[in-house]
Formats: sequence, C-alpha cells, structure tokens
Amino acid sequence: MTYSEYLFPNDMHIYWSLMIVTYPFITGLIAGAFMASALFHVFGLQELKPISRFALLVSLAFMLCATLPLLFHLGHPERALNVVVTPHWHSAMAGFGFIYSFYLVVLTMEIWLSYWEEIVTYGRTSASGMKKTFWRAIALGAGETSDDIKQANKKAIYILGLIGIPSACTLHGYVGFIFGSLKSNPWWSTPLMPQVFLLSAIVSGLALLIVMYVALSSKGYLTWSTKCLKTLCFYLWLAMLFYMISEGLEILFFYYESSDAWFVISTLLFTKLWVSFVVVQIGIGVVVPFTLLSIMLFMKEDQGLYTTMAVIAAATALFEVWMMRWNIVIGGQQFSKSYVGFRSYHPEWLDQEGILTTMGLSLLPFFLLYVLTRILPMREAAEATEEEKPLQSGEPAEQ
Amino acid sequence: MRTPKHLKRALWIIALLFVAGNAVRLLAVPESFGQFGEFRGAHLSEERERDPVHRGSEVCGECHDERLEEKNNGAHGPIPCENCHFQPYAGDETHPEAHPEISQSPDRSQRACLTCHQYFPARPQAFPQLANFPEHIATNGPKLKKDDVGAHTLCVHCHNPHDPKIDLGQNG
Repeated sequence: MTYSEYLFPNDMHIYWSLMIVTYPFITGLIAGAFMASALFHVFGLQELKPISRFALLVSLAFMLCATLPLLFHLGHPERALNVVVTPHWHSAMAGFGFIYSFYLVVLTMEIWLSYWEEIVTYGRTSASGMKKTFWRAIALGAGETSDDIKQANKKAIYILGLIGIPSACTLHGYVGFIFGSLKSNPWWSTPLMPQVFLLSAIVSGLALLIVMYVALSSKGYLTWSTKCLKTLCFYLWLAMLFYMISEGLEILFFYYESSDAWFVISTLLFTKLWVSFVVVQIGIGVVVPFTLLSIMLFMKEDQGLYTTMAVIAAATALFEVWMMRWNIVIGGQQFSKSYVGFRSYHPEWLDQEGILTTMGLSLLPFFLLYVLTRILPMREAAEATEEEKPLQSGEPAEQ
Repeated sequence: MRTPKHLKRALWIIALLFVAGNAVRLLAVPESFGQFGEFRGAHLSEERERDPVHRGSEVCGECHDERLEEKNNGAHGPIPCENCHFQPYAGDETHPEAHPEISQSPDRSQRACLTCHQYFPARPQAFPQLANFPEHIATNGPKLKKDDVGAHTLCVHCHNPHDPKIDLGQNG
C-alpha cells in the first residue's frame, strides 16, 4: 500500500500550535527574570540592585498570564483544575498545577517582603481610609520596619530566592523535560532538551530586562546605572555561551550518531526549517547578539554605542528565543512518523490559537506589569551607589 | 533573632491555604475515581446504560434482505447501512411506524459521499477519491449518462450507493 506524500493519517495536522510556542516563551521569561533578580538577592551582585525588584514584578506579570496559552489551546476552562484534582503521576504534565502554585507563592512572598517598607509606609500615610485598610491588610496587620525586621526580611528573601531558583527552573525546565521525554519524536527526544530550555529561558529573561531597563531608565522610571547594564550584558553573554554549547551539542550528537533520526532531522533542517532555524534563529538570532555581546566585553560601558549595542543584542536574543520555541514546537511536528513525509503550518489570524490571540497574550503581561508598577514602585529610594547618578530631587528618603 | 510577626502570619496563611486547598481537592475527586485506573469508575456503567444508536446492518437485513445482499456484494459491503441511512433505530425498537419523523432517507448530497471519497493525502492511492468533482464529471460523466450531467449532478445520479462500482467498458 502506498501513501502519497508519505504522511500517516494521524500525522496530517499540526496540533501544537502558536499557543504551545507562546507558553514556554512566557514561562522562560518568568524563570529568566527571576534568575536576574536572584543574582542580586541570593548571589549578592550589588550592581543589579536597580533592577532586582523590577525583575520580580516582571516575573509575576508573566506568571499571571502563563496559564492562558494552555487554556486557549486546550479549551474547556471548566476542566482546567482537573489536573490538580486528579493528577496522573505518570505524566510530567500532572506536576504543572503544583509547580505553578508553589512558585507563585514563593514569588509573591518574595515581592511582598521586597516591598515591605513601602507597604508599611503606605499603610500609615495613605490619604483615603480604603487605601489605608488595603495596605494594612497587605501588611497582615503588622507594621514594623526596625533594623531587626529589615534583617529578618533580608534573610527571608535570601531563603525564598534559594527556594525560588530551583522552583523557577522546575516551572520552565519541566516543559523542556516533557519535550525531551517524548521518545516518539527524534527532534525533541534528547536529555539535553530541559537544559536547552532552561538556558534559553535565562537568555530571554535577561534580554527582556535589558531592553526594558534601557527603555524605562531613559524615561526615569528606573535608576540608571551603567554597571547594572554591563552586568546584565555579561550574564546574557554567559547564558548565551552555555545555551549555544548545549544547542550545538544537541545537533552535533544527532549528526554524529547518524541514526534514523538524523535522516529526518537533516532533511527537516535543510528544507522546512532552513529559513526559520538555520537562517533566522542561528544566522540572526545567535550570531548577531553573541558577536555584539562579545565585542561589548572589551568596550567601556559608558559609551552611547554600548547601550545601543546592548539593546540590539538583547532584542535579537529575545527574538532568537522565540524562534527557538517555534522551531522546536512547530518544527518537531512538521515531519510524519513515516520519517519521509513533511507538512506545513500556517497559523490563521483570527483562530482561537491564531496570530491575534498570540499577540494579545504576549502584550497582556506588559499591561499587567503596568498595573503592578502603578501599585508598587519600580525603583527604591536607596538604589544608587556612590558611583551611580545621584537620585533625583523629590525622591523619598530611605525608610 | 525572633521571627517577625508578619512572617509568622504569612506562614500561617500559607499553611491554611495548603490545608484548605487540599481539603477542597479531596472533596472534588469523584467518588469512583481510581476504581479501575486513572478515571471515574462509574463512567463505564453509565456508558453501558446508554441506548445504542446503531444496531448494525444485520438488523436492517431482517426486513430489507435483498438490499443488504446487494450492498454486501458491492464495493460498499463493509459500510454499515446506518452510515448513510440516519439512525433508523435511534432509541426505538418499533421502527419505522412509531417515529416517522426520523428520516430513513439517505443523505444524497455530494458532501455525504465526499466524507469518505474526498481526496486526502494520507488515504491509500488505490482508494477511489476525488480532488476535483467538476473534473471528475467532465472526465467520466459523458461516458456514463450524458443527459444527467449538470450543475446539480450528484454522485448518486451515476453511482448506485449500494453497489457503486461502474464498469466503464460496458457503459462508456
């Protein structure tokens, strides 16, 4: 019996759509932004102080939207909680609800403690009774800001950061774990997959923070510090380096093993994924930012060119990570189990899982971030070190 | 260093949420869940209690034996009667008198035939399938019944659904 186009009947359609591209991109940003904040809170990198609290808010804004792509993809929101009510422990997906809830608690606690002094101050000084009650409720009725309390909060933030790092890694890494453990698909099935996902998550988180940091500090919303930008760029370079090694190793192994998997993967890379993977993701998304970041290692950070290069590098790195999600999720479904039949994916504009939904879901976290920053301040009073620009007049003094 | 009041309260709230969440979760688990596996055990008996919609071609053959024989000897032999004749037995044993509103007429549209015969890359090539209906009519129609070919030509104008194969050698 012959099959035209060599596709099996159950291989005709691409079911994991743009939503499944968006989902790991969003969770990656959550994990990446948290890592950037942990570099300050846990590893004591003082240079990142101007962005440490803002990074947590970024993480939370994306966290609140993380489930939406899955809901749009699966439909039936009334069944959404079944995954926690009756989890099937043979599936890594069963862990999602628990990992998500746990990390949400850790992240919220960390933000709560990071903003403790502001929360207490607002509880005392808010003009309207409603606001006062709101902030006092947020402070759980407590209102101490002594040095002892600050020390205890700092220690708690450190512990939460320590717990948060593996939690954020698990939240995002398990997506890579799911792809990596799908033995039926050679493009996905590799133990390197969780690592590739995690490293690219850190790349995307840092890249987003760099773009936002430059944009927001130029408008005065965040305290500008060239050292902060330099440190972010250095860690972006480092994350990209390890990411490139992992991704490169993955392809190299496929090539060197030359198993039946390579037969289909090489065809995929030179046909369906030639433009999106080889030209766009690697050619533009990896080469451009990594070259720029490598040059920037030897540049003085106080040059205007440095900032421009940082923004270009970060924007292309962010784009690279999105393309990486696309090439893994969509690319892995573009070949049939027959290994000789290939199909195409054409997302629609108005589909439930289409381009407009994707754009909406990608913009929603930024709207939530705007709302969060209207409630909690982006910068804190005592951010500037002696080497940085002095605070603008009118800023509140340290509590 | 003593644990500050707000931290203690936060930990209590988290503990309470954890306990309450688990209590709600336990209450939400369906009673027969896990009886036979990772699904609701009662689902099986509920499905068994439902009236079957289709009864199989043999039941139709009790009255329409000549039709059934014609079908069974033709290319549509493996297709059950009820695929085209909508559910004549749905929910009622006294077919057809008790429920005249239930249509026993087959769907004669092109759409009904194309459910199986629309061109689909994954179908075996030997299986008769149409990528282009007008082209099929233009190619084969005139050889069959020239007078019937028109804008509203249906598959059933040329093909007998019970025995659809047409010998072009004889009729062409």
